[in-house]
Amino acid sequence: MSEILTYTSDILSEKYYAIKHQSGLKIYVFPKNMSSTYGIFSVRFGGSVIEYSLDGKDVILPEGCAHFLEHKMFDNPDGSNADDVFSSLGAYDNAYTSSERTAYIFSATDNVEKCVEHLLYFVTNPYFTKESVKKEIGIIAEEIRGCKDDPYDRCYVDMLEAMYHNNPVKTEICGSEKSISEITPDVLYKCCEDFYTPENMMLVLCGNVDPDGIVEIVDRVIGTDRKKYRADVKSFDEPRTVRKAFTERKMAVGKPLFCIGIKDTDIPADPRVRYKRLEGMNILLNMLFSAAGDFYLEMLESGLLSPGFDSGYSSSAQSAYVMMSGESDDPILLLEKIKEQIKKARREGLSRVDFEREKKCHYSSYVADFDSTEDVAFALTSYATDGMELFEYPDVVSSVTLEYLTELLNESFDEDSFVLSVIRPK
Amino acid sequence: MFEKVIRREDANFTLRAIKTDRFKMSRLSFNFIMPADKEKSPLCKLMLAVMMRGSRRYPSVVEINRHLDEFYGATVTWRTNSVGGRHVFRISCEMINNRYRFAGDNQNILRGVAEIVLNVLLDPMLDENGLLCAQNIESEKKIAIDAIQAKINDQKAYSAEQCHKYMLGDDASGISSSGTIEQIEGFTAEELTANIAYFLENSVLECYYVGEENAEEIADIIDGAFTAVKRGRATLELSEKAFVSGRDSVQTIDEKMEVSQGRLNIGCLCGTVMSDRDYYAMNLFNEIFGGSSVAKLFINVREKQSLCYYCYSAYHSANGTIMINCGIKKENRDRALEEIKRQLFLMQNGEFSDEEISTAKKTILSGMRQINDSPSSLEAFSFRRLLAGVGEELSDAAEKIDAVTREDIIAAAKKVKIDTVYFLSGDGEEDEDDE
Repeated sequence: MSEILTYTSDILSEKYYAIKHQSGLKIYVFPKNMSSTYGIFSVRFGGSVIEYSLDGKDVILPEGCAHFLEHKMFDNPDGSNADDVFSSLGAYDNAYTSSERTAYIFSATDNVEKCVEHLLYFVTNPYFTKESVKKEIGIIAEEIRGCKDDPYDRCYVDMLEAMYHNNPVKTEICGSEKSISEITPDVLYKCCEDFYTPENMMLVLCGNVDPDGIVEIVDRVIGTDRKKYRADVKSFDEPRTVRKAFTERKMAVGKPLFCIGIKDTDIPADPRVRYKRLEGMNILLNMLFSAAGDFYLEMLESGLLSPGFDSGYSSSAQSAYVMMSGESDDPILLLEKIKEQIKKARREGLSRVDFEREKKCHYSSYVADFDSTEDVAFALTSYATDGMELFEYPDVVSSVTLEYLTELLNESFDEDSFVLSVIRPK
Repeated sequence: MFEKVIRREDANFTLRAIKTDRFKMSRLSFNFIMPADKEKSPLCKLMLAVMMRGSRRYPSVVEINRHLDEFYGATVTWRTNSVGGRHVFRISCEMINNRYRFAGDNQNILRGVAEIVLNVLLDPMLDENGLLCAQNIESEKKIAIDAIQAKINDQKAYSAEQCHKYMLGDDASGISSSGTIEQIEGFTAEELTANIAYFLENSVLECYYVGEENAEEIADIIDGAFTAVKRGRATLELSEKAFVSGRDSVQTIDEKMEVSQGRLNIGCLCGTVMSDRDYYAMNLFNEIFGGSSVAKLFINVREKQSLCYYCYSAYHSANGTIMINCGIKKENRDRALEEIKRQLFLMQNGEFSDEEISTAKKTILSGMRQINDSPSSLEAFSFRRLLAGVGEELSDAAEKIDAVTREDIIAAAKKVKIDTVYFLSGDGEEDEDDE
């Protein structure tokens, strides 16, 4: 039998169910009284999976494999295409591949059960032919060209490339025109076999859904047999310092774009500790650099920064870094100002007033997510992928203290963990 | 849907509100509407940007943001939209509802946020000469100019905008609120400052609120803030008309830039605006033709012929145009164009299935139902119809969609005429410098 746990939040007056299905599939069902129901069926297999071993055999995949597979997954063995099926149900479907996972999505206002059923069906019943794979190479090659023309994307990819020596998170998710030309139906079938097993997958639903109904559909489409997930993705050693502190490229842009990365190799294994660090870092970054801070105003007034400057910290079990991005006439000088701002904060200490205010902002953006079935589904997916429960968030935030932030401030941001990636006008 | 409509004559504004506890966040917006004007619109846009940099009570953008952050990071955003010859300057606020405040916090979030925004709008920070602050003007001019220059960073949007520009020429529906670099450089502090009174006096103001508070109270807050402000009697111009280019043959434009993917944009005239009887037929035509990933264009130009990564069409109901855009290899331009023309021809001859009609209807109806799921989409639905002079509820719209027949869609397809073909591509070898 499947095991069902209920999580409730008094603050939000919301609840959801976490189900461990017999097949090994993790299921999250979040009932919500809205017109649209949102579903995400995801697999822990993304652009960064290149080398793995299974039963003692090493496998190396062409770069861009997970993303290619995502595209081809929409063809069904019965000759239909998943897009057509969802459209005929009046639903919207989509998919995306990140470096860590591939996710297949639908949103529907009607026929929810049929949509869930088809979502489960099409992602677990692949169908590839030589012809269809060959044709897709042309389509993805165009996508790669499109990305190459996107200066913001280039700037970010260049930053990762400069930051990491070995971490495969830097692998381009779409691959290259050359790497995708090596992809064949056999390669794709093997990826499905090795990664698309229920134990390595998760189904998240938010909207007009009830847990019993969903379990019944999963029983029917996925079955109740348990098959072990056995792929062992190759681990890597990543030095603490960056590979290259500076990288630049010329493109057709109006003014220079930059991505500043600050590498963090101190990644706690316990997801709760990792989330505390994530929240702490983001609150800290806002205190130092947000549009409600003096630094931002000074940079804006001196013309060193344009509006649209963003800073944030992202982390997973695999990688963590701070990223700041935007447009500036002089990114090199801006980086110096940012380093000075960090030193100044270390010298002068952090303000408790700023801290309390920033906490309120973080709390309200968490609450805001619960106004959208899409946001809830994404939040559940990412929390659960990281081994956390969504309603644990308020506890994590309350464990973040000013003293903790001071500790982060003093121990992070080493001189040799900075990367500056710039795209300059031609 | 906005069952509460409050009209205040002196301050000349209308507030439309929905009182609901369905959402955790609430939304209040101020829509200032002016006729699109080549000179005035960019001036108003820059003026607003400068005003958003600080008021007398909150003398810098940081002061404004800090106070908003005290209200749990309430956001205030402003943007300018062009809707059929009018420019809408919208300032919208989103904030958490009072019941989610921390324990012991008794401040009224909506009131607090509304007061900040109204203060910024009505009590600008002026220097000893009574002018908007020179430093903020210079800074915002630079930002506006940078934004114009940065348009080429996004080639998809850039090429679409270029196509629009060439097609619409001097028509009011094609006037950009961004202006030109020369215009922005030329605006003086005197002009910008004088424009504040002009803007407040001559704009139509439509406000929207979705949330837990009482609409009357909000109307009182707005009314109170406007007591010292001179408001004229501007009224909403309700007629929207379809753009007519008067061209006999297709206009073709080729632009070169250093890019690796070519962008093909095709501007079409369709003669139907939102208030027209065949509005939903045109919607359905567009949905089947190029509105989704099961549409004719996507299936044939991308899936069957692998000519592109994307190929879509978008229907603009405020000026009766349809814009087709796709990303292709340079050498595929003619083949893609031919295929797009052929698909249009086939639709005009009724070559689409009943299943395609039913799928398109379901998709559009599903989109309609989702409007109930967010304050901003509720507002967008209502406001768009307000501008078009169409008084309909979601249920009316759904009925009209359902009633559209195959013949209606063919008739709509036959009205679609290609007017302008714009192609942006690289002028040399393909860019291969990455390996």
